[in-house]
Amino acid sequence: MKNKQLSAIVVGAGAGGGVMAKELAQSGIRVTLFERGDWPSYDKHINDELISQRVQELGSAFGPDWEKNPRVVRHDDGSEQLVTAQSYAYNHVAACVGSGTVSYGAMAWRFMPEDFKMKSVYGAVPGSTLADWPISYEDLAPYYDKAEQEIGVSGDMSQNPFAPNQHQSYPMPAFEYNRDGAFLDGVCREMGLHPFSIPMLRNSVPYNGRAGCIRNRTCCGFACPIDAKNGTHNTVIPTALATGNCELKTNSFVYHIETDGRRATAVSYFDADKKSHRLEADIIVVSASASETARLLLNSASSHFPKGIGNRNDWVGRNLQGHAYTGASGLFDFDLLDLSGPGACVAIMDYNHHNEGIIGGGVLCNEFYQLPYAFSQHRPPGAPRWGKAHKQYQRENYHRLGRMIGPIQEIPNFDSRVMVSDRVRDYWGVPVVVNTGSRHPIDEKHCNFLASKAEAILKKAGAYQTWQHGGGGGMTGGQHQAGTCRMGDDPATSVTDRFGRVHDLDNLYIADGSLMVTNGGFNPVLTILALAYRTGEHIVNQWSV
Amino acid sequence: MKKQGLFIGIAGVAGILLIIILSYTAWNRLDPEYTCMQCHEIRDSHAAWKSSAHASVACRECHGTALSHGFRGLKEKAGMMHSHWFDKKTNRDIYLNESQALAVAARCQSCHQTEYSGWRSGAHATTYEMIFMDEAHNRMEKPYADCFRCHGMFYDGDIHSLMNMESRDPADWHIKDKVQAGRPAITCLACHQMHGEQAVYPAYADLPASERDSLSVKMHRPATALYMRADRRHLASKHLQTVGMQMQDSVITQSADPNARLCMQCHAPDGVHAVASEDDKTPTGMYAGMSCMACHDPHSNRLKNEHRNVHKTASVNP
Amino acid sequence: MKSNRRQFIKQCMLLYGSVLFLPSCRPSAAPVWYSGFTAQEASAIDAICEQLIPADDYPGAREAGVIHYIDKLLYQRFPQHKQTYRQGLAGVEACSQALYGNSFAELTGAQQIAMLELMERGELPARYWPQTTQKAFFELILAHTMQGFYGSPRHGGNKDYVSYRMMKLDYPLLIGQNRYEK
Repeated sequence: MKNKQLSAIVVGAGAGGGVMAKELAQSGIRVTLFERGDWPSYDKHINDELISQRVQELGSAFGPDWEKNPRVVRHDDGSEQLVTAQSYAYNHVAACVGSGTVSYGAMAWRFMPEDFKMKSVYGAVPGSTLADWPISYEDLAPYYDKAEQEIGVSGDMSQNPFAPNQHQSYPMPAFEYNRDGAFLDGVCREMGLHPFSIPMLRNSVPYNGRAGCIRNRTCCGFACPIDAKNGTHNTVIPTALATGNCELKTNSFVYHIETDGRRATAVSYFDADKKSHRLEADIIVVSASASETARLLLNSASSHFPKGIGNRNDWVGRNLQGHAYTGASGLFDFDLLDLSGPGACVAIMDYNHHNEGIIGGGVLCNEFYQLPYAFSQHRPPGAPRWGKAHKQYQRENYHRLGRMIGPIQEIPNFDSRVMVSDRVRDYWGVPVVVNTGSRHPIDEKHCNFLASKAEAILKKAGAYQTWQHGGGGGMTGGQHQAGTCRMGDDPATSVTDRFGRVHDLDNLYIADGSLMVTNGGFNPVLTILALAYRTGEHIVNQWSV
Repeated sequence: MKKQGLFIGIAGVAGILLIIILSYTAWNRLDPEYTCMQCHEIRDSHAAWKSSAHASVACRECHGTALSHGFRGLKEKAGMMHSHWFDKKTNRDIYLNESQALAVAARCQSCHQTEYSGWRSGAHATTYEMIFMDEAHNRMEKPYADCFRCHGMFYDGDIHSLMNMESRDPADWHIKDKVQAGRPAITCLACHQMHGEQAVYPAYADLPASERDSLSVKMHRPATALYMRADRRHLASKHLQTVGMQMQDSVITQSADPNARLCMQCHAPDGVHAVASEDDKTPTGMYAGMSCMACHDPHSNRLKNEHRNVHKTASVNP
Repeated sequence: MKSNRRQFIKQCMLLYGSVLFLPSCRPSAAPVWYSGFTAQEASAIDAICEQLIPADDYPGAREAGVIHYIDKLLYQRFPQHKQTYRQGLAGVEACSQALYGNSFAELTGAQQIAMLELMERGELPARYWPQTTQKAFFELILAHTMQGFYGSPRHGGNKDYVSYRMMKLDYPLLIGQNRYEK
């Protein structure tokens, strides 16, 4: 082994895959990084609201191709429905180099220590697979540090008593508030809450050879025109490529993993011309999102693993979680918004953990700015949707709508899951994802809790009309999809070990949201990045001589 | 019989040729309502042209005839037909590429010689070379997509097809294509829309050169329009918003001249619209509310009068 | 033979001449052309959209060119919706004739609004929409009208950013150079 350069395949160039490629390539491993999409480009879709990551009426700016990548939704009554990325139940995640880190709102949350031991803190929940992670916050903390430094985070937690112990300070100062942020900060303080500036994977000052943020109002849902938003596409992936050890194959879709029963030996993929190829490697890492990672493992069934790789105990694709976004809106009789982007800038963590009768909870933030079309779809209950009244609402309230909203920690449900279809195939003839099951019923209570807290803040702020939104029932997943290849110490109730290695195989790893046992009450990207740093370091230590 | 057949053949060929020549001539001379506009796709453009200052300039003067640009012109037109039938493209999806935008600019020059020479002599006649190969600037800010918003609005690629920036040292960066490097980065169509709606004045080209200058002084300013690279279309200056400019806590009065709003699109402030930030040149103090045009010739950018301290502070412009 | 040849040439000239006069069918009768709608369908769509987003102190859907957005959308992106439009519009037309004895586009504003309000709630007689439902068609054209009025002009609607101006959104965004160091 000593004289031979190790080779690795990384499937998916998003948050986890980008970090993984860099960690492995820097240690001298020859990496092939697969991405089914292309390099993202700002020029192509600019700030076109109808083709963005938040509104997809005319397409997905960051992939995948609508017509080529259908999915199936299976309803409770067994009926099935073919869906495109336009439909919420599709659970769309961008397919391009950098994936969601190109177009995200870039909130950089660390999970809290309690998020890693939900079952110990709150006890078992009937009908739920709620469990502790096999690792603790302290295990992951050094890798949170690394993600914050290398990808680049602006923030300051000194005003937030609920912030988890931070080992290193953020590399960039916190963002200043916009008008509604400053206003809501004051209101929260008056209420005895603890507001602070949201840590962001954006440059508040020039960093890493790229510019500082210009406070564009079109940020969340779009690529950054000046490259001040940090993702894997402009940090770790270029670093990986610069080592000379990493080859990036774009427009290449990996659809099968071969194993000999003990090791994963090769992958099969389609290139841009729909030609099938095969590539062998010593190490294989799958980081294709909670939906697509599960799909790849299930589609790689063989005589060694008749139910799919890692699926001996039927856990692959199970426990699909997302975030029910819940909160409230309020109308004010003065201009609240100054449109200094991206909108969201102030948060409170008072409602994450240690709230009577609530398991988990969630962070509350002011909302990212809506553009005119999305705003036209957002109305108080019963308000006219069209006609003169609609138009008047549209122009009178665009600058006067305040929103507090946050992701509620979902309680895992074994039957909320990703499967593969036995009937529907995609453009390449590969069985597609089937989404089925629904959230645990207890989520609705938690959603109502957070929404009422949000409404209380807006009322206190002086809104003359307020209303709550976000239910908590129904199917889950969304862009924050997680949990489908849970990590754990017991192979009977998990898919990978504590380092993300699939239990049954020596050299197959997972590095994305699939690993997460629980999904926290926060946007998950920083945790996905940190997990990838940790697994990457582990692989290098295990395999390098 | 053989002889007669030959005769009919020759006559036939001659007849067909005659018909082609006659049709071609007629097509190019008739009112476009009877010709070009027969194609439903052209109706919007035709209506816009009819209401523009160029309504007296025939289609062929700028667009050429089917044959006037040789094989390239034919190929271009065939391409339009192809995309119409096979890619479901409509006239609204069609936009000019850079060489077409430059060809239009060359056409502008043939009539508007005074304006052209003004532009030629001023900073707006800058080239890609001068903008993108400014090493001192590149050391401060790496060129990226957004540069094209004001410099190279019609450029046909992205920053990486324009420049090689692989080296860590900006001194080694270069524009890949030498011809591209020498092209002007801000041309007529950046601020003018050929089919833009505006009042029609006496045909400029018909006047003797000696009268043109006096006319251009007398004339109302033409309606301008901003070419938005991102949207690949013009937006008339009258539709641009007046941006509330801030100096500390006070709001600066601004000119009602739509042309000033056009200038501001590129001579622009930062995201919070602070006076004198970034490239902002908003007139302040006793000059507040004046239009850029009050002091500057828009083509050469030259000052008409000598004034000092109009702008609060000149931002550092490398 | 000789006369034949003359006749032939005469016929050719006639044929050519008639070609010359073909363009005399000036298109001024229908200055706007739609790829997916008849003139009657277009005037109904235009009338519906204008009621969904009517002109007041600011331009409405008609001036914003929302119908161009819909036409382009059905032509290029979602031809599968053409059917719903055709059936939906046929229902609107038949229903309007039965209720008011007039074409929808010719109704008064109040009549149009009354019909649309009933359609939104699904309360018009269902028999006019045998293949689709009045609600499905209403929701579709409502969504498309909002997209066309508030989306980017690159898709055919929101002419010259009328809706952005109404909502006091400066467009294009003003961005100066963004230098690393001041």
